[in-house]
Amino acid sequence: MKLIIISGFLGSGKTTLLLGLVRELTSRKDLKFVVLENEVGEISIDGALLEQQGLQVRELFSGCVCCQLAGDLVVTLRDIAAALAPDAVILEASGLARVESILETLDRYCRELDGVMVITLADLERHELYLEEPMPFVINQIGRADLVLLNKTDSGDAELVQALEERLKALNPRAELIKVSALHGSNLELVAERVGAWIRTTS
Amino acid sequence: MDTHDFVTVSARKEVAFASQLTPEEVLRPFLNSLMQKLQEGGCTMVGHIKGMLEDGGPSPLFFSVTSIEGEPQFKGGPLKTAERFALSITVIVAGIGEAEIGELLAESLSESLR
Repeated sequence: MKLIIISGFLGSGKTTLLLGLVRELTSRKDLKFVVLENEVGEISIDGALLEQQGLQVRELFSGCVCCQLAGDLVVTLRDIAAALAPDAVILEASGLARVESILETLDRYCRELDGVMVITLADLERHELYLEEPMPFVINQIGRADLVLLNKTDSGDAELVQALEERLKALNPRAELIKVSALHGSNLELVAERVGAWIRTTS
Repeated sequence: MDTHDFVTVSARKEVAFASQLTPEEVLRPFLNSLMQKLQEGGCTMVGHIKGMLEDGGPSPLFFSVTSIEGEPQFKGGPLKTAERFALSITVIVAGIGEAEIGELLAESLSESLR
């Protein structure tokens, strides 16, 4: 079982991306997914939205999987592997999560995973988050990504998009960067292609 | 600013409003009032304010705000005509304490929604 972590700052479009990505993956590929939703709030809101769209969702809320809920994350992943044996779990991390901490937990306590891919969204509408003085956990989310998605690019001006692309590449030179609009579905087929290929080939 | 500077408060409340109003028409002034109170209360950054309005049917109305000046985004619904709804909301902001957020949220709820 592989794990795909979707990270990115609060409100950057993670849930919308997840919905579009799962639709793309399941429509074109014979893959079975379970979605694991993490919210820092005490009430499940994104989980309700995903379930309403017909996805199979497990939830961890009232804390972050990078710290307070790290143990619950490991137990839940083991439960999912034993009970459902999907090809992949897609974890939507909370917008405040430090990806590095999640990876450390998984590396130490969840070695049964066949691979972990980190997809991080950067939000063009909140370009100042990345262009001015990025918060350490935002730098960490971008820096530990295998795939960086610059989201909400359908409404941004070209100069700003270019400036943000350059900034994101400077924060993580090794990751591929794809411009998307999760809401309108643009370029999600390309993201699904990358993710699908990774699921099939990594071991 | 880092992760620990953000405070999260969630609330659930049963609300009612006149049936001739759309849920969006009811939620907008509530959210605008909440944003204004948060700003006046010292909020330095809106991380995410999100929630849902449920009528017991299969399609809740979801809402989301990601900045003080930002317009709320709506997704889902439509809700059927009902007299009472369950409102769930999570506020994640920086620059203001948990107790203050709870008070401002309660104020906005009581002022904008019955």
